[in-house]
Amino acid sequence: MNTYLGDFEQLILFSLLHLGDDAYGVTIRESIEERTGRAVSSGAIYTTLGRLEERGLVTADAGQPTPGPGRPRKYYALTPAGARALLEAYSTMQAMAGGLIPRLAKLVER
Amino acid sequence: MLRRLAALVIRGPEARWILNDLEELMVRDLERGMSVERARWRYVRNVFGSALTTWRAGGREPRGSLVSWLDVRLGVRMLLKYPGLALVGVLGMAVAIAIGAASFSVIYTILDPEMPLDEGERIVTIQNHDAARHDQARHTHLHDLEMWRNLATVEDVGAFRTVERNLVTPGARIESVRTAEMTASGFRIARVSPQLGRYFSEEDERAGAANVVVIGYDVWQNRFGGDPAIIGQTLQLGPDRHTVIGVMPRGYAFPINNRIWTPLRLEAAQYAQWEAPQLDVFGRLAPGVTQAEAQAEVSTLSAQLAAAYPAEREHVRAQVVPYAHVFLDAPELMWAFHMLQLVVSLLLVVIGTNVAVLVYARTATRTGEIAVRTALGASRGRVLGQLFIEALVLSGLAAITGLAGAHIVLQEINAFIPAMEGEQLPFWWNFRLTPGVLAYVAALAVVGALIVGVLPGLKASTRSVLAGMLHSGPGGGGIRLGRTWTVLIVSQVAIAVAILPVALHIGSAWLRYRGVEPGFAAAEFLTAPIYLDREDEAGEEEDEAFMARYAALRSELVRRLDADPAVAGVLLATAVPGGEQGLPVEVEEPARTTSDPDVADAGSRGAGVARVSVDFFDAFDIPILAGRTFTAGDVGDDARTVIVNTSFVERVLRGGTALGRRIRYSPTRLTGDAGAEQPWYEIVGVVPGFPFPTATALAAPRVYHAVDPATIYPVTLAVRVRGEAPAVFSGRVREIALALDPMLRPGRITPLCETMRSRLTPLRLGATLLVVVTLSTVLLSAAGIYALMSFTVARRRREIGIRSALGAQPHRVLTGVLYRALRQLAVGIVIGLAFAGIVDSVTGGEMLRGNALWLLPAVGALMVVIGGMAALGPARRALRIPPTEALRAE
Repeated sequence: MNTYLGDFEQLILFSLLHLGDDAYGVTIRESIEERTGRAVSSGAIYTTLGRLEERGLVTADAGQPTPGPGRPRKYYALTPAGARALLEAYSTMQAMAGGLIPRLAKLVER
Repeated sequence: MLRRLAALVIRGPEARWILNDLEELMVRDLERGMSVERARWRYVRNVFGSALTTWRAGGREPRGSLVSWLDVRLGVRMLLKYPGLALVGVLGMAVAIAIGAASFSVIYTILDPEMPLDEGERIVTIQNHDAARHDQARHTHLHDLEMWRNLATVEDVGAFRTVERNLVTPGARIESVRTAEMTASGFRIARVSPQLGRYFSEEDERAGAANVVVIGYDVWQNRFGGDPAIIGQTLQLGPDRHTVIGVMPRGYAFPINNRIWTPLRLEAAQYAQWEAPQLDVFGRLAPGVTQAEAQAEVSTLSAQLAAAYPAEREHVRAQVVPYAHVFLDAPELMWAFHMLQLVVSLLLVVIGTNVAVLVYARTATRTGEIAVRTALGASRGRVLGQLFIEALVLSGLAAITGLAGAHIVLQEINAFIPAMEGEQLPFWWNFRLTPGVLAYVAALAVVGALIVGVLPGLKASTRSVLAGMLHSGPGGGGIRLGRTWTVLIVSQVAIAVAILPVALHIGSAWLRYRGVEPGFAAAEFLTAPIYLDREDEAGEEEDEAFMARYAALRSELVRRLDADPAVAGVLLATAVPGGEQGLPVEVEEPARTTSDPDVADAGSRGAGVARVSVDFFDAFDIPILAGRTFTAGDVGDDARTVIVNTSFVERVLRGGTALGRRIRYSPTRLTGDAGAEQPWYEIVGVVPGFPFPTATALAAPRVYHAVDPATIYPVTLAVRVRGEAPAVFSGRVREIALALDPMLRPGRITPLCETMRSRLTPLRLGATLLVVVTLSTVLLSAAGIYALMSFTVARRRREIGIRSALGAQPHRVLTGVLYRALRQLAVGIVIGLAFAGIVDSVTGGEMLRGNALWLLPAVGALMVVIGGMAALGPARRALRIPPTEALRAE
C-alpha cells in the first residue's frame, strides 16, 4: 500500500495526535493555524481527511453525541496504519535531515 | 440565510461537516468579542475558501459530475484566447453588475437597515400613530415617556431631542452643531463604554444640576487636539458653559448622527398635560421578550390613555418599531423597492443577452469540438456544464470588476451625504458592500453565466447540429445563421444608433458644465442661513416678539458685517442662490383672452422661486437684460411684480416678449383646489441665468420676488468678501453673531462656489452613469456586429474560395460580401435614427437640444464605419485563402 504522506497530510495527522479525543474540523484547523501560523480552509481539511480515511490512515466517527449546544460534529482518530505511515514519513525526513540543520541555517544567513 | 447560500457553493460528501464547522467558527469569533460584521465577513471568506478547495478536489474525479475544476482552467484559457471578447463581455457585464450592486446596497440599507450596535436589532422606538390624521407622528409626549419608563417588556426606556447650538471652544472656530439632549439610558442602551471619563447618570438629568456634556471622538480630536486631560475642561453651547465629563469612542453617534450629548432635563410636572415638548423615545426589548409582546403591553397602556383622554388621544395608538427603522418604516413600500431592484437587475439580462450573442458566435465555431466530445460519450448536461463554467469565469471576472465599480460609486455617495446636511441622516445608513450585496452579485454572476454560457450552448449542442457536424466534416454543416441573426444584427445596430446621440450629447454637455464659469464672482461669496435658537422649542416666546427680536439682531448683524473692512456687501434672501424651492407656474395666455379671459397655459411648469432683497441683482453684478430692477415699491404683500431669468422666458414662456406678461402659481398644486384664487404677477424685468449661466441646462427657470428681509425666517445671508478667503472669513461671521447673542446661530456657512459644485454632484453621477451604460451598450453592439459579420463571412469562406478559384475578381467577391453586410447595417441605422428622431421631437427637442441635425447623421456615419470595418476584415481574410485550400476542403 502507498504510505507516502504529503506535507499537509502530515500536519493533519500530527494535529490528530495532539488533540486526542477532541479532534474534529474546528479544533484541527485551530491547532494547525496556532502551531504553524498557516491559514487553512475547512474545505482543505475535510478533503484531506476524506482521502486519509479512504486509505485507512484515519477513522471517522459521526455518531458521537456532541457535548453542549451546537450542531453535530465528526470526530477523527489515527489508525495504527496511520500512525505507522506518519512515523515512517517523519523518520525519513529526519534521516535525510540528520546533521544538516546547522549547515542549512548558515546558508540561510548568507 | 447565510448557511443556505453557503450550502449552494460548498458541495461534496463532507459539505455538511464543513458547514457545521464554519458556523461554529463564527460563534467562537463572536464569543471572542469580534464584531458581528467582521465575524460575518470571516464566515463568507471561509465559505469561499472551502468552496474552492472542495471544488478543486472534485475536479480530480470528474466522473458523473456535470462540472469540474478543469472547466475553470478551460474558461481562463478561453478568456486569454479571445481577449477582445473577454474584454467586451467583462466590461459590459461589469457595468450592469456595478449598477445592480450599488442600487442593492442603497435600497436595502435604507429599507432593511441594521443597527451596528450590540444586539442592535433589539433596540426599539415607541412612536405615536394618529389614525385620524393618517400620519406617522414619530414623536412622543414627555408625559407618555413617564408611562413607557414603567414598561416590563422594554428596558432602559429613554428619550432624546435634537437642538442646534453654537459650539464655542477655546482656540477653535465657532461651529453650529446638532446636540442630542438625551437621557442617560441612551448610552446604556447602546452598550458602548466611554473612551474617557463617564457618561451621564440620572443625577445629571435633575433640574439645577451642573451643566455637563459628553463629546464624541471627532470633537475631542478636532477641537481639543485629543488632549488626554480633557475631562473637567469646559466648552460653550449656546449661552451656557458645560463641563466635559466623557468622551465616546470613534464611530459612536447614537441616537441619530450626533457627536455632542447633554442631559435631557425636562420635568413632566412643569408642563400641562398635552403641552410638553415632543421627544423621540427609545428602549431595549427585555431579555427573552419579542417585539410582539412589547407591542401588546404598549397597546394596552395606549388604549387606557385613549379612554382617559378621549379628546386628545382617541385616535392615537403607540407602536413599537425597531429603532433602525425609525427613519423609514414602510413595509408597504417593500414591494415597490423589490420591483425597482428587479428592474435594475434586468439590465444584466439585457447586457448578458448581448454578450451571449458574442459567445454564440464563438460557440458556433466550437461545434466540432462539442460533437467529438459527445461522440466520445459526454452527456449533453456535461457539455452544457462546461460551457456554463466557462461563462462563469467570464461573469465572475465581471462581478469582481463590477464590485470594485460599485465600491467606488458607494464611496462617492457616502462622501456626498455629509455635503448635503448629512448630520440629519442616521449613522447606520452607511452604504457599503455587505455580505448581502456579495450574495446578490454572486447570484447575478450565475444568472449572467446561464445566459451567456448555457443559452448559446443549448442551441449549439442540439442533436441535429451535432449530427450535421459529424456527417459533413470540418467547415460544413453545423450551425446556420438564419433570419434570427439578421434580425439580431439589425436590432443591435438600431439600438446603438438610437442611444448613441443621447450619450454623445450628455457627455459633451457634461464636459461643458465642468468648465463653466458662474458669470459672477462666486468665489467671493459666503452664504449662510441665520437662526435664532429658542431656549425651549415649545415656544414660551410669542411668535411676534420672537420675530421682532430676530429682526433686530439680524439688522445689527448685517450692520456689523458691513462695517468689516473685508466685506464688500451683505445680501439677504430666502435661500442660497441656486437652491430655491420649485413651484408650478401658470402663464396667462394673451392669445386666448378673447374667448376666456383668464385661461392659463394648460400645462403648468416648475420654476424656482426666490424672495430677495431689493439690491440683490446689483450686489451679484447681475445685469438687467430687459425692463427694470426692483425698487422699494416692489416690496410688500400687495406687490404684484416679479423678475424672471432667461431660462424662464425660454422654457416657461416659450420665447417672445416677457415684459408685461403675467404669471401665477398653480392653485391646483398649491392648495389642491383648482378654484382657489391665486394672484397674478407681472413680469417687470429679465435677468440672465444665475448662479449657473443660461447656456447650461443647470440654469433652471427662476422667478424673483422683492421682499422685506424683516419678514423672513430664517434669512439667508450672502456676504461678499474681498481680499480675504471666504472660508477664512466664515469664522468672523460666527464670532460677530456670537458676540451679538449666543443663541444667534449661522447655519452651514459655505462659499457659494462650493454650493454650486455640490449641486453639480448628482448631475455628474447621473451623467456618468448614463454615459457609461450607453457606451458599454454601444461597445457591445459594435462587438456584436463585428462577431456576427465575421461569423457570416467565415461561413462563406468556402464559397469565396471557390469563386476566387473560378476566376472571380477579388473586388467583385468583396462587393458581394459587403453588400449583404451593409444592407443589414443600413436597415439598422435607418430604424435607429428614426427612433432617435421621434424621441427627440416628442420631447420637444429637449433630448438633443437642437443638435439633432448634425448629431444623427454623424452617428449614422460612425456606425457605417464600424460595421464596414467589421465586415471588411473577415472578408479580406477570406480572399487571401488560396483557392486550392478552399477546394481541398470539399
